[in-house]
Amino acid sequence: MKDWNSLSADRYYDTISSSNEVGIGILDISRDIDSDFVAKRTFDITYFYVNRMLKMKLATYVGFEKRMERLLEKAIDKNKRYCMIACQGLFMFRGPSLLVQSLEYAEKNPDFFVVGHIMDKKKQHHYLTSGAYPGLHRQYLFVNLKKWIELGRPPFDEMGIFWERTPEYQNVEFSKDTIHSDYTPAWIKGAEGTSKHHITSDGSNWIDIAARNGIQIDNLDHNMRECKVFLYPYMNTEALETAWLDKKNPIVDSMDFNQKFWLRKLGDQEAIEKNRVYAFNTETLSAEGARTNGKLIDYLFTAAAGFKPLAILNTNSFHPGTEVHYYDWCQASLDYKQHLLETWDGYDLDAWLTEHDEKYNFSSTFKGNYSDFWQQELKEFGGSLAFQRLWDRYRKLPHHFHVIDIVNDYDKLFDIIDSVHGTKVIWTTNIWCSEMLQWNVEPEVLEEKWKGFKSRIKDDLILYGLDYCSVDMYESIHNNVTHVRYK
Amino acid sequence: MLEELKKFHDSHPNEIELKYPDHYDTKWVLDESEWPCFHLSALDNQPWKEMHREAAALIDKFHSHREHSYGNGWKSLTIHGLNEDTQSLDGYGDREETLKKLDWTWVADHCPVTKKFLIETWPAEYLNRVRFMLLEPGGYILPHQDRPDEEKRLSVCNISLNNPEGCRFAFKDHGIVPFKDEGSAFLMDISNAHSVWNQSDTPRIHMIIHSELGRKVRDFFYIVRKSFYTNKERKINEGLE
Repeated sequence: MKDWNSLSADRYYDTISSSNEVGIGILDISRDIDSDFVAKRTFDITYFYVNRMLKMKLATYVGFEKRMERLLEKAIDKNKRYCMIACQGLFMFRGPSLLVQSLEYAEKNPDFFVVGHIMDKKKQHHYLTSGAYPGLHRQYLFVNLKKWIELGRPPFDEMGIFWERTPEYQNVEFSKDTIHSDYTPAWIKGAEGTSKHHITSDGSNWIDIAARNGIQIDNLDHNMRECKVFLYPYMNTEALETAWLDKKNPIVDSMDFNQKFWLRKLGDQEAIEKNRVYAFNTETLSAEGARTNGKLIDYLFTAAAGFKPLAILNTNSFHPGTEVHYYDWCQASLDYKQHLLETWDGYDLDAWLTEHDEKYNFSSTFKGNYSDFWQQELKEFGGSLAFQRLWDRYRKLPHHFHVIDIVNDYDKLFDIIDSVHGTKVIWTTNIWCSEMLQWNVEPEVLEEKWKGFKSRIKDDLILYGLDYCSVDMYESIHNNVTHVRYK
Repeated sequence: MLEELKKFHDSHPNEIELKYPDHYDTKWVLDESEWPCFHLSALDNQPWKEMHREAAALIDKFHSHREHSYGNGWKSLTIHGLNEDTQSLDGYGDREETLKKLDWTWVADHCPVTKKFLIETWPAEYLNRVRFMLLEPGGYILPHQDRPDEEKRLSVCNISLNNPEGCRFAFKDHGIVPFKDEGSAFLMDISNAHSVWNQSDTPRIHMIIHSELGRKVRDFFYIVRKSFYTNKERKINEGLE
């Protein structure tokens, strides 16, 4: 089970290639959310997951709009073939996988119009729309823009109530198979005849248009569904506001299934993160290359996770007097690093990790699969012998350990950095753009903290790691990077 | 007749006080609350005064309304309908055909601010009959009900473009609708008997909107929900809850 808990998950996706044919837009449903806080924060987190896909250059962001068709038009303006629309409150925590699956679907079904959550309202007992003409849930749509244009660029209608001007829509046929409930069929297509409807659903007109044109609309399959969660921010909104930061509040028990699932997941994760140990890194080890202009590193200030510190030292070169300062907000991480340095000889890490599996709370991403990850590590370091020689040199360096939260207490770290002289390198990994931090602290507040951190960075400090927007610090420092604003 | 009017209004001397539940529920507010009216306070910042000026400028164009039944000094001017003096739509034959003929009347050309409000702000996809309703000084509308008792629901919208001191709109068994002179919009349940009496020396002009929500349901719900919380907060601030 992968953690999927940061933006910098390069290693998970290094086999994914994409020609960036997808525009991603966020649908603004703030009108329907009865809390400014929940509306704002659901946007922030929806964008957080979208940003992961952007960072991997899998897609292009097209904006935040109240109307689906505006997003589709914007995607067309950017020369995209498809548009993925995520409603505010939809968290695509496995977005890259969803995108890849969607593109595979598009390849197999080149004439498709839209993939979405088909709602059979005859079987869903919603007080307002029960019995309505079927629709497409607005939480998520994947649209073939060419087909949308062919069909006359129809707007995506919102649900409607008609006492007198009842729209006449094509009759439809549903698949016998359903996806997760009896009101979510696997597909829908046209049937003989038309009928008038007093109540229509979101996207009813798209169902009608597809049915009239002989196009079958498919639902998301189970694998696609598992890539995302919708928080239904317009339901139990007050409770959601309460539980956003207080994830263990008993009020969570009274919430909708999805809300409960997500908040409990985050709550458990938060508890686990307090002593989480990352034996390996989620980032690729040497993607950034050397940054010291040929100078040997005198001081490395680094998060304790995995072998990235070693990779930075190796890439830029170091000498026997190079000092390594580890910082982490988590004591367990530092303990692990110290323990490893003191007792491990550089061979068969998988065996060492298995032996100490009970002692440390290793990340579930790697747990139970140490051998594979270790082999990957050796490959990146040039084989077992090369690694062992490097490890030997590394172990002999002076190592220092500091419990420091660099988001809230960065002065403590910079006071140490400023007290030494020489070639200094810092690596902050994905601390600033981790899922839990972004959930708990809104980007505007994080930006202020980041600015404080940034203000302490002097010209002689060489940077590795990401800022609060998941932009390489090296770039962030020289450009005025900021986050995407809510409104 | 005047005795009946006086008796009705004397027996309803106070403004309507609604008891707001802790939690908002659209269905409850609109269909189950049995509230005689509901202030759409989310629309309080609309340009009611400009709309009043537009309607008042056409004051000599209004047509007498229900003069021979229960109205006196009551007049109307249709901005959206079949013509400037559109009556109940059921009186024009096939209703479906009638609906197709509905359009802006010449009045709309003289009332751009009002027309803009109806197109851009009023949360309904289709407008049916929309009228300015004038009640002259001393004018009155005798107690009547427009729907049977069993059809209780908030539906039609009545907007005060002005509501001079001394002009009262009262619902039987409930009290006076707290229309504001500076402008205010209310959803009304006209299955309750009601009466209006303008005991001021100023013409009162309201606007009545009949419309069909269509695909603007969520826009309408938003206005109702926002109004619910605003009204409730005002009551709390005024120490009434």
